[in-house]
Amino acid sequence: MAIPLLELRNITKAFGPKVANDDISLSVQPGRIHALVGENGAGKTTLMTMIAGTAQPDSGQIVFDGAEVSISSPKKAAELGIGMVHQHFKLIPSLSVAENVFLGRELRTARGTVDTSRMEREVAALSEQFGLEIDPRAKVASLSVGLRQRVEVLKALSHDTRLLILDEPTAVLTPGETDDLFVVVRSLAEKGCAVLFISHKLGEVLAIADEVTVIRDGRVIDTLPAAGLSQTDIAQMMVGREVLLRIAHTPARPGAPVLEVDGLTVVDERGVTVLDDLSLTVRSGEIVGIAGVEGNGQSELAAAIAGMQSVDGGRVTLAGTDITSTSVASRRAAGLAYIPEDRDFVGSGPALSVTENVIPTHLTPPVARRGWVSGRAADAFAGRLIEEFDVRGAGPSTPIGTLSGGNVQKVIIAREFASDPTLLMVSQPTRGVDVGAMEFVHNAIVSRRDQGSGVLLLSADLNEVMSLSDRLLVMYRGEIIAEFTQETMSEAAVGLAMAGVRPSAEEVREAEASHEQVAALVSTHGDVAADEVEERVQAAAAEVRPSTADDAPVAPPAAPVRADDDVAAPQEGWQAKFRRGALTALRGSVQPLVAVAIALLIGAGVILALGENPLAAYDQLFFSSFRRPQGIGALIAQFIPLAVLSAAVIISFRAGFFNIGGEGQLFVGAFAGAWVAFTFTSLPGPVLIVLTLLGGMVGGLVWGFIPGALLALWRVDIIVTTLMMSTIGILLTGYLVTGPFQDPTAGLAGSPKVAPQARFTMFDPQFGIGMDLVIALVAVVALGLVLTRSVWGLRVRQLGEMNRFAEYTGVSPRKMSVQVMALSGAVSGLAGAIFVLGPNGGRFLLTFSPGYGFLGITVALLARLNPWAAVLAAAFYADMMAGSNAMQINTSVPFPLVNVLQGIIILLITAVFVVDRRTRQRVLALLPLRRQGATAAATAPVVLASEAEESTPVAPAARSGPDATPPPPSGAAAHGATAVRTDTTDSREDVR
Amino acid sequence: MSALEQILTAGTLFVILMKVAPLLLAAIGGAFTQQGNILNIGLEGMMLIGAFTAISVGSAFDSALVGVVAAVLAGLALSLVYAAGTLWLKADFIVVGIGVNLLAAGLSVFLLQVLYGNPGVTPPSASITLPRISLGPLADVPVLGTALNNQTALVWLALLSVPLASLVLYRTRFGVHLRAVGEDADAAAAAGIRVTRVKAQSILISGVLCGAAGAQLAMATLGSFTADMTSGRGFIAVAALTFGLARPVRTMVAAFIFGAADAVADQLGIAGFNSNLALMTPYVITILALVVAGIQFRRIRGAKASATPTPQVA
Repeated sequence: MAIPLLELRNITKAFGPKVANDDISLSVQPGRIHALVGENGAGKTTLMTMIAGTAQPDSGQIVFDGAEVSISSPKKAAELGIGMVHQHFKLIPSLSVAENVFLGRELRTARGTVDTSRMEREVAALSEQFGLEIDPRAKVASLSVGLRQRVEVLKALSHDTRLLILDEPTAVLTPGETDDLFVVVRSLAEKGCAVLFISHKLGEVLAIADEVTVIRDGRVIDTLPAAGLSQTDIAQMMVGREVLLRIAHTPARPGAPVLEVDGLTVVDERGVTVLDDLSLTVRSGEIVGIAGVEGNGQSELAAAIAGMQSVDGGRVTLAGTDITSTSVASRRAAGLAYIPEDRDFVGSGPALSVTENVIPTHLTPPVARRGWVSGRAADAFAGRLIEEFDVRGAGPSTPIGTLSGGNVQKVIIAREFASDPTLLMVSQPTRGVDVGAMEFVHNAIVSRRDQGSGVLLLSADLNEVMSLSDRLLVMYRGEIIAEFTQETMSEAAVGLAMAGVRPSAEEVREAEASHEQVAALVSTHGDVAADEVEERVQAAAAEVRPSTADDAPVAPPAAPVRADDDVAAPQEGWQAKFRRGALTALRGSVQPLVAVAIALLIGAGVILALGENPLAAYDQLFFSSFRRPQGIGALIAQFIPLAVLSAAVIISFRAGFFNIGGEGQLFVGAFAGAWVAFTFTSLPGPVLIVLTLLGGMVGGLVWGFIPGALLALWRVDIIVTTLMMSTIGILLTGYLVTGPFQDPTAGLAGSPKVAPQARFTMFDPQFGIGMDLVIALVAVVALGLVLTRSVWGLRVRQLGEMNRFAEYTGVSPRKMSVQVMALSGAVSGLAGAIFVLGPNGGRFLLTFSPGYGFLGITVALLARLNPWAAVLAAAFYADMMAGSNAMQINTSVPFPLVNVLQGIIILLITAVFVVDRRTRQRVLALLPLRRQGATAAATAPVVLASEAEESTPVAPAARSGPDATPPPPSGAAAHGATAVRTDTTDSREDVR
Repeated sequence: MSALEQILTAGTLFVILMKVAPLLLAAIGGAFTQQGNILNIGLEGMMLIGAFTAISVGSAFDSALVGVVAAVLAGLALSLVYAAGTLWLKADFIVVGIGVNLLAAGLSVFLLQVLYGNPGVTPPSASITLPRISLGPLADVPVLGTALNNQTALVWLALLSVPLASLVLYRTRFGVHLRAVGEDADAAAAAGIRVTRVKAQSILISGVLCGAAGAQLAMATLGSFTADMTSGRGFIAVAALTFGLARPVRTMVAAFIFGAADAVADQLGIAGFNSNLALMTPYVITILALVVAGIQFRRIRGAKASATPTPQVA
């Protein structure tokens, strides 16, 4: 045989503890089509990224064209002549076809600008050369999926490609488009190009490939010539045992209809009809399967039934109730359970514990009573599900993201089964699940049916859906195109229907013939000794994975575990609990401590540069406040607003809403409170105090509610609106106290004095301890309890962790955005009212805040959004701010050093010092500030709607679609960031 | 003289241009990072540190040019901090932006105290202003002549930055790469574009432009620096580029509207009115623009142009 073009020698690649590729060796000959098959998660794509230069192997060699190479970048891969067509297209929608093909190596004119016309000409030439017709000037955004892939192929072929990698190229194609692609691929091979073809569709592999390499669990099982192999052979090697290509099917005993879908129509955000007048019925005690090429509306159908997709026409009836436009929560209450396709981002919240993952849909006594969650009962419930559904390696408090795919799926199944559903909807139940768990899942689904649930099963795995279904419906372009029973379904007939043909017997025969023709065209198999193949297949299949040994399928529990069952699960001892808590706290405090330490070190350098003694300065900064009663008073005066505002920030950030307008909410709340207190002066003190605090909360609430409502209604980016509203609030209060409510006697811009009886009682005027401190602490503790213990707090945390998951369990992101923002604003407003009635207030002063709203954000982040730690962080900041004057007076280090320190701390607080991947993910998980997709959501629609001009950076947000919950915040500023109002910090101590 | 006449004096356009220049420079700088999918909220801080450096270094060397160069370098330095925080330490870019703003605010007040013994303002002895460029005979051209005569070089730079930004963003390799990175960083990386480097470059551009913006702000008329001198102009720049979808020409239009609001507020203040309400306009306009965009999107979705149903990519 010829010298291989590409040879992989002992390639190993691990991601953390997971070994994706283990000692893989493989060689590809020029002019041959080499298929790489394996289940999802077997390591195919990882291997390919190393050949394409986007990842590097941990060990092993890559030999290309006889020389060992290091493919350090995609550029290097391109130079070698390696082109890759990715499963998920790597195209920039707003750029043209030509710009995409030449992305990263644009042609330039003599003047150095991009030479668009030359690129277009070259792409036209390329497309002619390879018979891939396309308009080089068209924007990729306007192309169909098939055409987009054509662009990908052109891109891969555009640099004298000698090795073409196709990663699951047919996943999104119709059968016709697939055949077109195969013809192109075969002709490429005939021109001498080597092709690596990755797929898990065995029929296609056999149709196109010359050699087949099977990968399982990151290891090469064997490489065999395609000729003589059967699908069963390959499947056997893929999974390492005689697979259940057919699960023994027991007949169903269908009862009354439980789900009726009538004329369902859904149009997506691009205006494409994805569900077209679709009707179907599921009866109790039967499994109705939906087969079809992915992307023919299956996901939308599931989402529409689950209530996570808006519907444009038709009716959905569940157990006799019309649920077409009801909330997710009410559908669940009506008896719907749903095991979603996307396990990691819809079915579970990865950073949440197993308990937090299972209880959101079971918030009934004893798990939750009167809006409060019982931690003990919740853990007990989770513990029982873990036991009965045989979830391996997990306790109630284990973050679910650390479990394997199969075990995550078991947790989801346990949760969904526990509600004893009328209708069980299951989407891609075994994707990425190991074989042992797969059998468990299949058995579980059948057992649910036998207990009388109606089951709607959507799966792209034809074997699975054919084996499990009592009736099988085939979806094509948003319609049900064919229906089969166990007796009438055959792979050829179902396959034909998947291609969009309503099959008659004759058509089935024709299809088979034509398919064979194409197969003959693209296949170059010679005669190979089939016996030899058979032998090797057996050998490979016998090599059972070690991990499967203890993964024996377990039958699911016959009776569902209910949340209201008796609770009698083993409890963790308090010592163990304490130890775990202490460990978590320790781990969590590393980052803030490092940030503070670095800031103090830099500060020490600055102090040294000024010729002063850093230790003496820091002694003054941090300890002087404790040496005099007034110092303590000054500390408390700073502590109160910081603690309350950071609590407000924590509530909104934990829900994933980036409320950076605390400053404006504080101002509006302070003014509103003051207005109450200087207007209703005849009321008795206690009444007036309560009304003032309420007034402040209402003021802040309005200021927080507006951005929340704008987000809920029109998806207006919350960061920009809170920022803008914040400045508006400051300017508005400024207008009020310099205009209609001006008090000329105030000296500074301020409102009239509040009624004296409304001022807070001071228990100890010397130390500055009074009612304001009590109220602030009560508010902070109450908010902390709400966040950590209440049902509402659980929703907040779910939403912040993964908003698709929250929505899926019945949380309405829209309602929550309004509620969370209103509460966050109200708390900020409360801080303002507390100030007005406090010892330093007495009236609304325009200069009362040295940027508290903004400092509250830094305190919250320093506490890593933990409400209890925030009290400590607020005290730390308050101490620094209160001690800054003493530092300046006693060591002549200027007080603004504190602002510099605060700046450095916040710069570093979300930084990732440890490059360890897992730590990093934990940090990110803790701060729900990561944005997927792109920028300001509300700016994107404008692009979609009205602009046809140049490209825009905001399109990705548009693609996330309207089904996406309020988009994660994307960025903006904090007002007050620079509002270092020196006068307040200065005078604070004296006032007290 | 009526209030309206007082506001719309012949010099109003001149004043607007003067006020727009720092806003425009910062917004164009922010537009670059925004094209790379980073909403740069550090504009405020970068501008502030530029303003401080322009005055302190410029007056020390008694040279406006040195002041401007120093301001640009200061903006660049702070943008380096921003880039290091977001790209190297992988910190959240909003949080880092807040940090940059705090750092600039703290540092400028700290240095005011250390260098001049006054945390509020630079002393009259440390004063320096930018030279004005006279148009000579062209100054007599109606409207435009009055508006452009005797403006600083930085005003011209600001006006020039718009076509320049368009050219760079849409006609150069860097621009195409930056837009690709902003739209889909993974796809850009797969095409061999060095995502981190391109993003870093866009951040540094914003630092340079913000430094210049700060110099214009401090040195155009006052010639001195006061604490919190930018007083939210960086956020108005953020508003302008949000309104302008980070496209240079649209951003310029927004900057002009917002700068005009600022100028009108000033005139109102001089005329004895309360200027706070006028100062709110940029923020209100931006929110309204975002709301309109949101409603528009809803309506378009409602209209449902029917196209050929194509299978969807996940």
